[in-house]
Amino acid sequence: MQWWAIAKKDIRIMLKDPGAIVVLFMLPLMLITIMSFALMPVFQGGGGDEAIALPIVDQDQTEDSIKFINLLKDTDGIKLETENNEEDFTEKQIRKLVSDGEYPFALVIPKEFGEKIKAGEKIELISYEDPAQANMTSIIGRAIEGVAQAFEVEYIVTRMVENQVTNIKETVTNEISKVEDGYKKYIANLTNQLNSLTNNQFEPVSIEVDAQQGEEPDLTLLKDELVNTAKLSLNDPKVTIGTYSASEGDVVERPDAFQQNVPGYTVMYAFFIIMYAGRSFLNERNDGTFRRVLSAPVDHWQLFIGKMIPNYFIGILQVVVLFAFGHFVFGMSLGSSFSGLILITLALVWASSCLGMLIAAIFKTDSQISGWSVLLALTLAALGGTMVPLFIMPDIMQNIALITPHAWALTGYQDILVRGLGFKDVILDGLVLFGFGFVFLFVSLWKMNYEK
Amino acid sequence: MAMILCDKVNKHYENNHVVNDLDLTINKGEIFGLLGPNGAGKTTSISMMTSQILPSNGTIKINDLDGITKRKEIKKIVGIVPQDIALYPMLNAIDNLKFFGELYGIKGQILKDRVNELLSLVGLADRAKEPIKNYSGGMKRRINIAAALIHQPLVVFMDEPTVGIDPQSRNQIFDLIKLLKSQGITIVYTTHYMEEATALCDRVAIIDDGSIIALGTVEELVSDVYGGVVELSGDNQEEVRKFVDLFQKESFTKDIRLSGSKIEMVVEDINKNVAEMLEALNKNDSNLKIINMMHPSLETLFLYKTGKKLRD
Repeated sequence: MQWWAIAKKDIRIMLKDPGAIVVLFMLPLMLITIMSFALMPVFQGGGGDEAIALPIVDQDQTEDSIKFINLLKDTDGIKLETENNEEDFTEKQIRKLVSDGEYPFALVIPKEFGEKIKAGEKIELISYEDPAQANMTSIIGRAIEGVAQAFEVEYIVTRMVENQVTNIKETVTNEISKVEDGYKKYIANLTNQLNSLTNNQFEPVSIEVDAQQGEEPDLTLLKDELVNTAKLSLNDPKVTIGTYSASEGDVVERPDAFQQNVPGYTVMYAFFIIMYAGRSFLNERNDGTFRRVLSAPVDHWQLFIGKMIPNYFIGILQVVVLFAFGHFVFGMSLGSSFSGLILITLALVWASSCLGMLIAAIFKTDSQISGWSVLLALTLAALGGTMVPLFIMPDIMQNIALITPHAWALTGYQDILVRGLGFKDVILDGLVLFGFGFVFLFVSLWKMNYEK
Repeated sequence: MAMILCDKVNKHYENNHVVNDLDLTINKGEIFGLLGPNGAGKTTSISMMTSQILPSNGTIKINDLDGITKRKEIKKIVGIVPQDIALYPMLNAIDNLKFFGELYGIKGQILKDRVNELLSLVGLADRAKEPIKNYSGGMKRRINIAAALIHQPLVVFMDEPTVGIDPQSRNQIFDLIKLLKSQGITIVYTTHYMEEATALCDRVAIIDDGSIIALGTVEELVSDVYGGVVELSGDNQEEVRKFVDLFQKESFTKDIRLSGSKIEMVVEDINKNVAEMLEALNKNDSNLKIINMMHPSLETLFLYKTGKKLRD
């Protein structure tokens, strides 16, 4: 059980090392928090408290401009601001606010808006954008474009309905005239026939059929009904796009920023353990404790296992802390399979611990260990998609990513957290990660020199 | 009775011969001094005796246990005090001692008691819960020794255990070593301080270039340089040679050798013989000068035998 004594000692030392605590725990926690909050609007599309403020000036003040503003108000993720200190914004004011960076975007509805809309002419809304907040402006710009299209569609439908009503009215009037003429002719014929039969001097009988006698059909209700139906269809479209898991068919919630960032940073920082694994060996060599340990009746395998276990333990602790932080502090969902999550975690930490042993076996100086550890941890993280999502990388980069344990670990976590997959779907990811670990382990056992 | 036996032990790495035909017997309960300049082969010899590395050939026996086939058993009866403070600075003295105890399979109350006993022995019971990094050099040295004693070894190898410490701590360590000797523990002591070897060691071996060049009690070794060593130097090589021939015939010369333009002589009585040598030089109108006079001591012997100062 000497391996356990060595492991306990190393865990104690590592937990007393403030540098290790900062890099392995504090740094990823900070980055997860900052990046998740920063990217929240991108992942959640705004809404609630996170709505983006949009200053707006209505220079038209017509029924149409108000209708357009009301549509904007109903848009999720945008909070309209029309006044400052109870005074309506002016175009000059909002322009300055945007140029000062106070708002990413501002909108002006020009004077002739209602008039031109009625005339069916093109109308251009005036917007001011802060180029420094390009991400936000593109989001708001797209939202306003959507509202403008909805408004335009509604207007077109209204005009179409009105045109249809006019057409129906004309058709009905024409038909009534035709019927009236027919009746008139028919009655005239009947009158003539009766007169010829009776040959008397009675006044001819005539029946007046007045087209105006029956009231013109009231189509206002029909028109309103059509417009409302069109409106409802636009606001509550009957055809919607649901988000489904590709394999299971379960509806999944849209991933939040934490579900995206926690696995990414967890995978990235899990491999920073390699620096501490290397340094742990180096410090023992430099301080002479390695020689002292080897002077005791300790087998080499016990020493190897004893030095490896702390890395594994700290790695597991690191993943647990980061996921627990995301879950308990920010309500991040732990996905569709807890057992799958455990499998990927065990496999990920195995791969990182074994890589740590490889670093310890190959590199003999502090500068070598520090330099190569950081280089490997960051390069593999970048290649493996923890910094830039794999799907936006070119095909060749996506293929290269497969030679990194990071890509497999990240895919495994995302399958569970975001894609709604289960344990059996991440078994391959887990096996590949264990495979990476065994390769690292064999090379480190081969390169490890206990005598030097 | 022999505790350590080395018979024609060699160690070489490829073409580099580090230890050559080491023959050595160290008795039970003896304090044995191993002296030699840096790179002489001391550390490699100790590493072989403590079963950390295997000899290329030859036989090593520790307490009758074979150094090749019974390495694990040997490790159980051997303690090492390295020259470095081989401790974990972030951990306190108790945790350090417990860790090394666990490596030897000691656990529970026995380990606890042994740790407390050793902390009292080295006078650090009151500072036991402080991290080692807060200790002074002397305190670290004492814990360094305690860690080697945790498993109650029969042999302790001490490599420069007093380097860089104050005289008070040094005296405490000396007392501790004497106490260990009184308990029958064999100690192999490596040092650069001749006065330490003189004060502590029952016997001393001087090792150079991987071989033992002198072995015996301090008195025996010092007697090898009789009344001291005199060094003379001159510019004229021919004249230097002439005086080697001349002094060789003198009865006070016990040994003489020529090293370049330098003559090294072991003499019978340094104070008396130097006067006679000066007289001879004056009589011959010689330009040779006496450049060094060394009274008989271990240091003189070391310099004479190795041609190096112990710190070289």
